[in-house]
Amino acid sequence: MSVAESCHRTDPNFWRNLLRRYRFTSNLKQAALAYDLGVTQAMVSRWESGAARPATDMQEKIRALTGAPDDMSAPLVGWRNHVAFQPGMAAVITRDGVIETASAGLAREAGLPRNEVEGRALGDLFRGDLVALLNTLNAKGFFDGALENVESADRYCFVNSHGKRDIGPVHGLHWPHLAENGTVWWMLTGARVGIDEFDLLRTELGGQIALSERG
Amino acid sequence: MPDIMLNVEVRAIHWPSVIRHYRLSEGLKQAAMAHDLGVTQTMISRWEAGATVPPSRIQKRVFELYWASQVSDTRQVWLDRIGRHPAVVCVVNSDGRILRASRGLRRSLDCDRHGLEGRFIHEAFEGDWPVLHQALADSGLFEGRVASAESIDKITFLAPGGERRNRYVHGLHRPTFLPGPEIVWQLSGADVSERVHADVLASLGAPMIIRKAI
Repeated sequence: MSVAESCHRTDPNFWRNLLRRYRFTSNLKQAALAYDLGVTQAMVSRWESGAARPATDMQEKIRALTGAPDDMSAPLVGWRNHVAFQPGMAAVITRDGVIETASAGLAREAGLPRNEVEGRALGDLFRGDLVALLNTLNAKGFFDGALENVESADRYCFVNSHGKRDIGPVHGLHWPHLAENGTVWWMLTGARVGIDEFDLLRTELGGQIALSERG
Repeated sequence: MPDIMLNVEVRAIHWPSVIRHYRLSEGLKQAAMAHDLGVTQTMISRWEAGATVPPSRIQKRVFELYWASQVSDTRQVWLDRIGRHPAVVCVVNSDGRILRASRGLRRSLDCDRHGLEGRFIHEAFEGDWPVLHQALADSGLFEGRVASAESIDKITFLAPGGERRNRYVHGLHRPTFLPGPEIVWQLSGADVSERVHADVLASLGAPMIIRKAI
């Protein structure tokens, strides 16, 4: 999936970013933009803060006004977008196990569009090691900033309405990412490995995972 | 910290792009950024217009802000993490020197760190990566003019032993802002099959898409 293709469909910040960028580059106040679109300034403010998304007919108006083509390719900014478009397996996950952002690579491995992975609970989509890992991270204070990183050798098993799909052995590296609002997110990264490499990793790590505490 | 991180001829940073891109990507108004930096809004406007170059104190501060927005860790933790990363990741400077190669990349190419780190990308690889480095440099990535890029590449790794190994890699690229100030290229991606290579190439419409900073 290309950046251009997936941007406005799956990027939760697409409208917010588009409106802000247009307003800044055109040097408009919210009130002026609201006037042009025939809405209240409060509405523009809600769109720009991400509190609301423009309705479909309003999306058309915004496109017409800003001259954004249907597959407008916004410059990729911010760490979450960087995760979202990773060709490798990566995800941003909350302490409750909600997949906030899934990478293009993870979606490719799971055989699902990104927007069908995002917003779901880890336990709904996966079985086995990955779910156990979430519990371990919580128990070890990962989301309270106690760990610098966690390395793992896991077997990913993906579940969807059609049944199970074994992704197989995965080498993972996980670290806490401190978000703008002070919340700690789980930054998951991984790559599929062969069975020999998997056995080697398990030996190296002394088990399924190895924890590094913050120095 | 290996010595190869030092003694690099640093490209002139294009401050109007860097400051404007940082500001807009964080959704800040000129006035808000001026407040954060302790300067007037007029100064921000002049820097973004290229009328004057920000003083070194501001240059340093802008790079710190960029770093905090992308990484939120120390440089040593960041480098160490890239070295241990399971997927394909590498950090390359403006000369094309490979500063750090992830475990995933070394695993994919069946080599150790010395097979990659310290070598030049145009010496270690044939195919699309040397071309990509040149294209990113020409687009001004090392000066702060590029926001990100995506590519689908066919590469040949020239192992130190003389062996040649072919791979298909789907890559995502972005500038990383190091104190110095210096901008390096962070390549991250995944090995893909020939079929996925063809699919991604079709959906991208070109082997690489470079997105300029705002």
